[in-house]
Amino acid sequence: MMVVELDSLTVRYPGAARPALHDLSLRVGGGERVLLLGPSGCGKSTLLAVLLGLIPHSLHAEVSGVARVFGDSTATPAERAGRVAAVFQDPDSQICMLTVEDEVAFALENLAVPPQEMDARIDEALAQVGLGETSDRAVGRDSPTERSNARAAPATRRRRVDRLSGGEKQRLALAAALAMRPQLLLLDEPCSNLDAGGVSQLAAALRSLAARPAERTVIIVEHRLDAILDTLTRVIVLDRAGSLCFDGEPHRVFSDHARELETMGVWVPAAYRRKPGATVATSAAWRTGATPLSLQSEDAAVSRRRTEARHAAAAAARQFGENRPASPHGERAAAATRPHRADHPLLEMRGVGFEYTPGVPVLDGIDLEMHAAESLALLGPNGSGKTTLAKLACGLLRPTRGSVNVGGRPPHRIPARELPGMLGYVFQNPEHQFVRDTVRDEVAFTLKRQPIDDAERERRIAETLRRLSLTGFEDRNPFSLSHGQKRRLSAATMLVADAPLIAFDEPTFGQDWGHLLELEEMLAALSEDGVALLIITHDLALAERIADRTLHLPGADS
Amino acid sequence: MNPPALFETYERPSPLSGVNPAIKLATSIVVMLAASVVFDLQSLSGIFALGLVVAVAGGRVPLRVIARGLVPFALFGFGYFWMNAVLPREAGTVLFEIGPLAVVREGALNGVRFAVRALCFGIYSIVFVATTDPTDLARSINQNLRVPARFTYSALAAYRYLPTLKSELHQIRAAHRLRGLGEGDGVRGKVVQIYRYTIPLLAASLRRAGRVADSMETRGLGREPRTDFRAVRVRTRDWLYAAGLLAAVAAILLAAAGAGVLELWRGRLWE
Repeated sequence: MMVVELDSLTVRYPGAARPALHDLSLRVGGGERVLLLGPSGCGKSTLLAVLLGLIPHSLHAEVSGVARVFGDSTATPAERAGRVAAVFQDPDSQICMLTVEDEVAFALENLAVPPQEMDARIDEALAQVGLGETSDRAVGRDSPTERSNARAAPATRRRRVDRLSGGEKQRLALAAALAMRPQLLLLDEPCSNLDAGGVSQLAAALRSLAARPAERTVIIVEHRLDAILDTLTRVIVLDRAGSLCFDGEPHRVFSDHARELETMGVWVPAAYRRKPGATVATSAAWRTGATPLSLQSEDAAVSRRRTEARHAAAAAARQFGENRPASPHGERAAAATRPHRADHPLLEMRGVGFEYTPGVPVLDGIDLEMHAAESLALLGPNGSGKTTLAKLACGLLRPTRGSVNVGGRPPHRIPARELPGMLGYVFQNPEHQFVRDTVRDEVAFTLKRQPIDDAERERRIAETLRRLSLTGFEDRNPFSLSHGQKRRLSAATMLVADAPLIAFDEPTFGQDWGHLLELEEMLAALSEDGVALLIITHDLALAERIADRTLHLPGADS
Repeated sequence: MNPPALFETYERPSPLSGVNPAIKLATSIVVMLAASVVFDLQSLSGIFALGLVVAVAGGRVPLRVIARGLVPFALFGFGYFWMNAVLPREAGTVLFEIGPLAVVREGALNGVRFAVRALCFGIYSIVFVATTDPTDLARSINQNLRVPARFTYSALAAYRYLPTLKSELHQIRAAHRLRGLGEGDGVRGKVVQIYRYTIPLLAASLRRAGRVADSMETRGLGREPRTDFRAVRVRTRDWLYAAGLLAAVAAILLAAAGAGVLELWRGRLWE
């Protein structure tokens, strides 16, 4: 019996213009290890939801054609549980119990496994993902609270899930799925919300259980898993319309179609990419009238950096209607045209130290200066204080030692209404920043207290929306935008007030491959326009391509 | 070392943490009902003191945790005290005056009773909350009270995400400040601000709730029959706890009656 049989499967969400999956027919047999790829919005997650029975039982969608899993097409998710199991994207929206062992036991209880067998199965599953008693017992270092709670860590099984790191939580979710001993294991971007450390932990766990047992079928949607590539037997690629595009043995698909895949915005393993580090210019939306914004290759990046200072000075001059000649010290020149305390750097930190808990410094002795048009990548493992540093820079926190100045003033002294013109901060979750009901009002809100007339206001709003490819979305509710659009809107609200410095907190976190490319282009374009960028990231490749320099914060143990 | 937060105190083992959660909850509720019926200071103080002893000796709850936990109840109690002291239903002896407000002796005494009653509710809540593992409570309600697993485990999942909600609220506030929005001015500003916080918080929570529900369903929640990883039984000692505590409350009330001070509440929130 085939594990998965799809015949002309079409799935359409209510109100959607086009189907999420279109006329999809394929078979997956026992023991296959399938990588499912496609650009964002191609219906990969929809397909997994169908296989799990979540569509149509929990999520509303029109389904035509047939989708059989183990020969059955009508079972509910709960009825499929056991034979089919899944791990989802976000470690923080799938764990439902309070301790490690209860989480793994939850599925076993529902499957009516005899209680006397449970302990052995819990131990087995935890060992498979490397969360067993003898394995790595490092306490997660995600936050200072977590560190201070590390007192007398209980045995692994009794650990509380809210004290696990992201990587540990995702491995726990995998253990909970494996404990059911499923014949079909579905992994829906299990790495997408993990930092670099979490990804390598999960990849190691997946690797160690590859091909065990041989009859288990695995279907995985992921684009950051070079490490497990050789354990896969098949790659299925869906196109933007949700139809089957390529299907075959991984080496064949990647070597024959690398170019098409990259053009579609689909992840290609590093080994098959045409040119290491090459950025693909996908969305024509990024080409705007004023400056050519698309960044084509490494060479372009290098020349971009050379001309950057000049660009910055020119941009600054444009904004203030002045015509200063570009100087070799373009950064200084640009800074000099700013209205606030002209000769100060945009951001200046001197001997900054910070402690959440007295005696436990998160940061110490930080000296940092940022000038106009400069892009700085802030790197470092979880818990090294990257976000803390950015929050200090924005005055969300006050330093325990040392001084922070933004345009010559400590940021917490800057009244809230002046902040938007001095610096912007795009949060990991851009939704948190939305305060109005339409895209236009959201951008206009920043200009509320600026002394400009209505025509100028309208002109600047329109110009900013155009720069960030949001033209046409003016009347949409910010919450109804796609994830990439939300981040662009968040940047737009900062740009419209001419914020000379914008901090991005993990802009690539939780993004799929297509959005990664889009984001990278946005950052490159902003940098080219003379905006100084402070990018907090785990993504070394991104830092290398966008940043002029990097600041590496050591982890707490080093 | 800092004392643990009230909701984390259950992690310390104590005689009370071994008591069946459903029975412990029911016992606390019955005592609170008793405290709602009587209205003399002696009985109410006795019931409160008993709760304090149970929390400290039986639950090994640190005094600082108890004190912090009682703060909201004390504030509530003070509100009652103040209202009754300056606005008694019937005129009485004026103790002293603060500006235009006269503090009346009879009213103040009634106010103290209301306040002690509020503290009784507080201490018996602490006795339960600070000694009960939430997972055990969910299991107990499912196994002993026969409430379907679908409800008890969904409630537990909601509980698990409460801290997430709090950290999200902090982030939203920070994000709004960076947009140039200070904390709202005046009452109207505050209301608008809360509305602005609610939408992103609600959007994130709804999305998360949907995902957690999907995850639970794909792991078989709702299937019958199910087995239990940890059986939560009702044992003799659980009944002994309930019987013992209720007997002690009864003794306090009998002693008050014997001394001729026992008074029943007339059901008025304001005397």
